Amino acid sequence: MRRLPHIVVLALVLTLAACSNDSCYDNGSSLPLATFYINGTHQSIPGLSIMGIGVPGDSLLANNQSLDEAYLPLRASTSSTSYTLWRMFTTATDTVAVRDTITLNYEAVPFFHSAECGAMYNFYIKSVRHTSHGIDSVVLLTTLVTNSRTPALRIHFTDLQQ
Amino acid sequence: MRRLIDSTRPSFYRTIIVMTMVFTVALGSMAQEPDKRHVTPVKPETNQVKPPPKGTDEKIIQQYISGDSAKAVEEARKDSLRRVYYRYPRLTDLTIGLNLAEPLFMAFGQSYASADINATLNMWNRIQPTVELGLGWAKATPDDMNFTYKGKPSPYFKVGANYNFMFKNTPDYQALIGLRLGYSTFGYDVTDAHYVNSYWQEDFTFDITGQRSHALWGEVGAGLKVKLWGPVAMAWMIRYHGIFNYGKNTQSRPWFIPGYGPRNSSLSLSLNICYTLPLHRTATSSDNKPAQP
Repeated sequence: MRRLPHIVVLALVLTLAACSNDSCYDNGSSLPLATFYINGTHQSIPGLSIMGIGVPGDSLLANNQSLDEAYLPLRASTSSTSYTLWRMFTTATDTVAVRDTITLNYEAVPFFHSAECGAMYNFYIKSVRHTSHGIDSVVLLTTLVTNSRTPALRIHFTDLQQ
Repeated sequence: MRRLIDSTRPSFYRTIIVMTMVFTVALGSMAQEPDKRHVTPVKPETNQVKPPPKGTDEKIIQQYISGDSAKAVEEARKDSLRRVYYRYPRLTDLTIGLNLAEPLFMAFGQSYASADINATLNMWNRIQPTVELGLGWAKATPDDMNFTYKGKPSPYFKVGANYNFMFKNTPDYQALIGLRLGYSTFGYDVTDAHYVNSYWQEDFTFDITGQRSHALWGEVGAGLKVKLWGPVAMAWMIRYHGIFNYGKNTQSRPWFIPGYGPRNSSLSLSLNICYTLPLHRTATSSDNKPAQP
């Protein structure tokens, strides 16, 4: 019985220590993370370029790179954002670009995360549309895009070698 | 030679028989009166009644004077035990405290504060149930961040108890551990939030106002209480705390919780100026101080 107060205090300290704290990832923004698949396998896509449609200066997110995932920043001032993705594919006689477009429709909601992370926008994704020249399918993994490293999209590319 | 032995045999047997009888009688007499061989000498002062020690209760002294020394000795023994193992009354005292730690820190630049008035009932100088009722507020614009957080003045409530490790000593000086359960419901605004999206070249500000939340948390702390003068004392306690549950809004998470501090903090400090009201006649008087064993 004499040890009971010590046990109670120790248990409480451990309980309080288990209370989780929120973390802040990357640059303090809510960015949808897209992961890339071919034939159901998560793998790098060679020769991939990504650009937002209507982005000032036609700035590229990726330029002919080999990527297995990419963040796709969304515009907070509009309710949809489109990206064009193309892959350079070399045939026996020529090199061609297989181009697709992905459009995300969403609602941007102002959000204060924490003192460390600051204020940002979260995005409630309502729908995703895409063309199918080199993309087989797009799976929406979560409808809420927050400041976390959880993938929001899974893009299945077609295997151009076949 | 054989003849010589034969001629002396009757007297030899007689001698043996006599010696055996004498030895048997001697053993018998020793067995009948063993105490006489181990009597402790009586000291002359054993029969004297010793005077009672200093500080003995007057009633016991009167028993000595009236000649009832046996009862007096027994009472003196009980009185001595009471002095060594003093047990304070169930309601020893009531302490009213004012926690001014964070308003003091705010004067030195801290951007938030919680201040409370608290009442602690000291029971047996050992267990101390306590309640705290306070107000917390905040206004912060971190240098490297993109917002201004305004925590509206909001109430908080804590209930818990302390355990005084120095319960055998005077209540004027205490070493404490304490547990608390705290709750607050509060409102806050986030203004001048600066949003920048470098890829799409978006740059504007927005406000998130009228936010409300609540929080339930626990604290465990260790502290000291020291008498300053008369009934006035100072008590401080360092507290380790964690949130059990808090309200999450669709547009925000609270940064500051009244009575708790920043949501991601794990330590806080309380500094109380206390006024003690004795609930027992000898609770704080000097004659209540236990004698040293």
